[in-house]
Amino acid sequence: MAPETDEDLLIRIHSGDEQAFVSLYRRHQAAIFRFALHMTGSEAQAEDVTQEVFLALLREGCGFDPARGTLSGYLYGIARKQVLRQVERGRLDVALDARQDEMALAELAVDDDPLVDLARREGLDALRRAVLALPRRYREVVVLCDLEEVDYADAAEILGCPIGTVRSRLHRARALLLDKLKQDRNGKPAVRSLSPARCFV
Amino acid sequence: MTCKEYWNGEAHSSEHLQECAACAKRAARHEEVVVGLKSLGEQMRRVEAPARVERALVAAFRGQTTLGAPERRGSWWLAGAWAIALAATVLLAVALLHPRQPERSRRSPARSYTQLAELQMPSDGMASEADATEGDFLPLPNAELVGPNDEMNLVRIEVPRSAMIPLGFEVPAERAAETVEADVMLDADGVARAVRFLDPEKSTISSSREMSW
Repeated sequence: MAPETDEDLLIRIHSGDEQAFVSLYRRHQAAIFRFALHMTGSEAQAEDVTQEVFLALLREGCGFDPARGTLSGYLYGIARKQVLRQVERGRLDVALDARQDEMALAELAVDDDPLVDLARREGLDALRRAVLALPRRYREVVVLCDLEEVDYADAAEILGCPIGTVRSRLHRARALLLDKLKQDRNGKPAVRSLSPARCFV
Repeated sequence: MTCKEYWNGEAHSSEHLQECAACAKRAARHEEVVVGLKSLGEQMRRVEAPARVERALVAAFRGQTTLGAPERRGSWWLAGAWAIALAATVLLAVALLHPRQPERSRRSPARSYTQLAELQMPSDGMASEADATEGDFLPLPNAELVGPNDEMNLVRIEVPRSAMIPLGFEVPAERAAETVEADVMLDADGVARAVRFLDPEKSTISSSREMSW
């Protein structure tokens, strides 16, 4: 028996079917949570964003139109707006809790294999820090296309830009990552954007 | 094609890389970054939201369905009539399906975020009819089971104004289909125990306070 489509589940959700909501949540929560985690670098904020995304889905007339795209793209779109909202509220300040967030991310990404190559893990940690330090518009294309393997067309829909812009931003993002990793290896501050973005004085 | 054109272009011609050793070296390093990103993505693939997020969302879902989801605007009279009937039926069903249950001392696993907050019941239990003021929590039929030290989840939702009627509020029929924000108190199982309506136009709504729970 073929699994129910997202649209079918959504209809059942709006008629009060809790099991349909749980099914839809379990189908999409991991991708949304990881996107928010990569974008904010904070597990707590990623949880917040994930919760807001699915609460928005509960509201009748939530705005999802199957004719305009997939539910997955729609959910990413809400998640992106929620991340932006957090930035606007000033809740996202990488500089203030970067160390704590790095630890949280490292814990989440623990490999089961005890013999995992330490150098590889350190390399991935450096890369993860570099991704987190990218300007938001570059970070989101890297997270969507490289980390979550969303195809370029869907990413363009989520970001509301032409597919060519996705490609060029991705290319530029990789160049920035390369520069940051190079600086890291040379012992210079690997992530310049980790300096405080605001002056509170 | 110049190096600048190659790196600024959307389509990358491999011909340029055969001609330019510097760009070829740089492109190879870009490829390393892409491979590293794929590894990072695979490493994170099993990461998912903690179970408490699902619990909190299910509690919110139950809270919303208990009091009724907001109706669509338009054809307000028909919608309002249905909303009133639906809200009354749902509240009656809650009262019948959740009669006196053993008191639970379990703490709610839900974590507070944007729309959820933990709070304690007033020390004297739910607001009594005598001291209830507008804005107080009004007990739903099974609220008497909530102990003074039980921790509850608070979920803010939008409900039709008609949902206020079974709780003793007078709502003009022409406004029954409008939505109003409400804080719903949920126990650890997501069962609604009490509600507080947050109405910016309190003067238009008055509670008859004739309900006795």
